[in-house]
Amino acid sequence: MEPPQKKLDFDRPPVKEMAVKKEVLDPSSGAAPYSFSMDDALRELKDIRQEAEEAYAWNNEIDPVPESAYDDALLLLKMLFDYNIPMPDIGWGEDGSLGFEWRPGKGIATMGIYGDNLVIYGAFFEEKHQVEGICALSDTAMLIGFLIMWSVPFNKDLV
Amino acid sequence: MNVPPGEKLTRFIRYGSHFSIVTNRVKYEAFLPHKNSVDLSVFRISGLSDSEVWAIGREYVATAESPIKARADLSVGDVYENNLEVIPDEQSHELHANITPFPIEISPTDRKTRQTIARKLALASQLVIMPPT
Repeated sequence: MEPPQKKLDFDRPPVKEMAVKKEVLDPSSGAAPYSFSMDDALRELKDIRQEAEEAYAWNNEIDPVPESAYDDALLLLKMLFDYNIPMPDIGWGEDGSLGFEWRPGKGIATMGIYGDNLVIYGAFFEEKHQVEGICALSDTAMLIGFLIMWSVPFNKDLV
Repeated sequence: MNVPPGEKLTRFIRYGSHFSIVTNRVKYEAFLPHKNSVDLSVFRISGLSDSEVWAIGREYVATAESPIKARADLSVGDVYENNLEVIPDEQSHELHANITPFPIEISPTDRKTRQTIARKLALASQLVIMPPT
């Protein structure tokens, strides 16, 4: 397996905007503009698991979501919660993945988890702002940095 | 031979977690094929009425355990803009086609490419909820 990649291929926002955004998302700042309920998130993850397991039971062409992916999803949800990031829409894929998705305005940002301690992240907003990459689940700085950077072009329009 | 770019396609959705009624959007997971598949199954729906489109889904995609819940409509042009092809595959139905090629999943880089494709197709698509029967 090739090593995790760190690739950011869109223009970084000005340092001043980054600082403002970081303050909003920094758990030590005390701000919680996007807080969500971990109970709600766990309930949604449980529902996703039930649907994915039923689908796999009925269709053996579907790749099962490994147990480790649910463990990784839990860790990622906790990280998002700690950093006051909005609750994502959670889903599962027929390729055996779990996915987190945000739809700010006309854009899309996703994080894909396969249970191998890696997170595949990406955001797309028109054709001017794109970012994508792969990093370790433990690379909190990269993941939170990703969310900070891609959300700036959306003018904090995280939903 | 590729499908003309002016045509409209749909991907039928059988799982509730592949779309959101709240945001009225298709989630990107609806556009992720199995990890060993290079094709994403769609149907060509230009010129069909809404009821004719749903009838194809009920007859050729739905199963007893997984009925159709929604569909994701998009234009062939949106697919081509992402450097993919739409190839007719008429074995199961004369309007069936495949969006291709998704990379076969061997490394995390392949996964990243597949997710990028799915993300862009989801953004370009329009959710249509199955009407009550």
